Amino acid sequence: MQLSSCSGVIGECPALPSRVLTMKITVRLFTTLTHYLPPGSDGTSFQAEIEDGATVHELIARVGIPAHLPHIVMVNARRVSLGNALKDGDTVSLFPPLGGG
Amino acid sequence: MVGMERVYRVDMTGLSVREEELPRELLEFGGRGFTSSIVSQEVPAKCDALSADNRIVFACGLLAGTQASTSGRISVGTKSPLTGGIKESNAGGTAGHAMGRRGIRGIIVHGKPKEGTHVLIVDAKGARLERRDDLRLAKSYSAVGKLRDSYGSGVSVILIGPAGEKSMRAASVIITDVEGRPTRHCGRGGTGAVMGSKGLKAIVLDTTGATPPPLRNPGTFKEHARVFAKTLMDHPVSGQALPVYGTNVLANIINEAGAYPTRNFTSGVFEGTGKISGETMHDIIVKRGGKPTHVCQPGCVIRCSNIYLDEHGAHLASGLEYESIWANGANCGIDDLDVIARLDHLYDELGLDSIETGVAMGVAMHAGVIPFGDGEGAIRLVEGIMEGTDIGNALGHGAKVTGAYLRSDHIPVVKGQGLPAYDPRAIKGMGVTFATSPMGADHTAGYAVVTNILECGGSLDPLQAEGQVDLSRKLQIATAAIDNVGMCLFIAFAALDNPDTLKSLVGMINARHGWEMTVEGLMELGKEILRGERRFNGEAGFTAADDRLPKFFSREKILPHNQTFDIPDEELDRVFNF
Repeated sequence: MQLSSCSGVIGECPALPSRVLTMKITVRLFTTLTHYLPPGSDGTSFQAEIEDGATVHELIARVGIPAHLPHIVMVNARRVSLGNALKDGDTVSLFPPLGGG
Repeated sequence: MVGMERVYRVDMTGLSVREEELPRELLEFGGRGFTSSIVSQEVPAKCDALSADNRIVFACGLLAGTQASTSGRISVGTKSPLTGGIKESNAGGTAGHAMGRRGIRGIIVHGKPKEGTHVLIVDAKGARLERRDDLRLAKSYSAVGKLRDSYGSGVSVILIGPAGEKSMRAASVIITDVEGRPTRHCGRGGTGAVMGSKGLKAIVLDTTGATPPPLRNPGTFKEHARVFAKTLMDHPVSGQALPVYGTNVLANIINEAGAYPTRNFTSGVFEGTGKISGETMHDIIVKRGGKPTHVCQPGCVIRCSNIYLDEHGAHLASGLEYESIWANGANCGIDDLDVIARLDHLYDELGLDSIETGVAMGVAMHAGVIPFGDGEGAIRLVEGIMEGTDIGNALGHGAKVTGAYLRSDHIPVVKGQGLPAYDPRAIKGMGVTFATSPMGADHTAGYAVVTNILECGGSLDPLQAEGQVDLSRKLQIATAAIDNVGMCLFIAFAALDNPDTLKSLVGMINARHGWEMTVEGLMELGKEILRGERRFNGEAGFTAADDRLPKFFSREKILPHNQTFDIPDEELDRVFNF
């Protein structure tokens, strides 16, 4: 954290960044989860905004998807757990349980 | 003994049929266990696959003909003309249950006639061969129509199309579905070419007057069958996702994972996936009055098949499946489901493996025969297989021959068999299975996608090398065991998450036959089957060098992950250390 490197002497600390940064995240939903796409989406994906450092779990709550529905979560084509922190520009793909082959 | 299962031995040289009791040592072997046992015991490993010395074996599972859901797969086994090794390929449809109801565990065909096109008829009187030269080179819909006219509208048919009669190495064995259409394929490994080499166009199974097989403990059987079906229905994959979207529900997730092989395995992401996905296909089927939910075999509760109609409402395909859609779609840069369904219809008519022919097409497009994405061009090339054009003759023999003919250095095959719809650089567990399965590159042989992608039965990062060999080994053993029962592999989703699935499965087997088999005992049979298949391949000349992916997978990185297949050879050699 930048704060810990600060000397504590007033006037010597660098300017702190704003505590709330807004990240733009692409959310992609499949099969039964497409019911949660907002109006005007392209049938699969939409843009969401969320605070800097938010997790996948927080994103799912923010966009109104019940937490128990997504079974498989990918960020930028890598499978991750719900506790993973997101970065600005990430693509999050969510799936219910599925299989085939 | 009443209810004793039987075996038919069909001699195509002498054109005669002999009935035998099921040998005691084969009692516990059904499906793949039966076919691989016969092939490894009776076929000279070094024989020419299309010679009289080879055998082609048809077998149903241990529960065929009963009320057990999903138990009617039929296995076809032989020495493969595509791989040169042992082959088992299985399908749904009506024939597995029909064999079960007739009390037949297996049909073993050997020899070769001097001339003629022949049909094996199995009915209440027994089994007999009839000469049917009128069916020579008949496309499959026409052949099935004539056979139903001759032997009854309710018969189940196992047949080959013209590709099999022409001994093409991508030729399938077709099984009629519940509507009597020739749509379900034992697709892989060129089994149709072996059937064709024996002058056997079809096997007709008439179950008129037949009853379900006897059960040793009917009450116990019924209870286990109820629990078994309930575990399938309760699992979200087999109970919800598969019935609604079919197997093609995978297109989007495999693409999102960067593992959807595109344009002959040159990318892991296909920009046209949204147009050929399971969700899009579902909407098209519903809009045109087809069936998004459909059984491929009688009595299956999963119902993952479908009926796909063209824009005028005419039937094109039954069971347009994920692998076929991928092979002829993303793999060829084609994003039009109607084109893919028309290709699938041609494969039904000609009796061709939709995976092998699609992979061969991808190789041909990569070599510049036609551009990637040229759907009408692809249809013309497949029509050329029937007409006997040069490129058609190459395509009909699969990806390896097509690549050799076109002097390609980018041929995605293992042991001569085309890779299915998962890039081994992005799902490394599948790479292990493709490399090491005795069948050649076969996705069903050890479906690592379950834990690599689907979070079913555990979780393992698809891009990490560690752990994939152990995973593939475990899955290859379990798959051989399930194939031995004649169950559809899709029971595995429930079985991986719920111990009651396998417990009730074994309970049904014991109640049917009066045995005391355990789940562990069933898995031991899986190991025995794999050991026998490996032994046959060894005698046929296969070495560790054949348990490898093509070199380009370890040299060329693929987007989006920029990965190669990096599991060391010595790790691959540990798969069968049991």
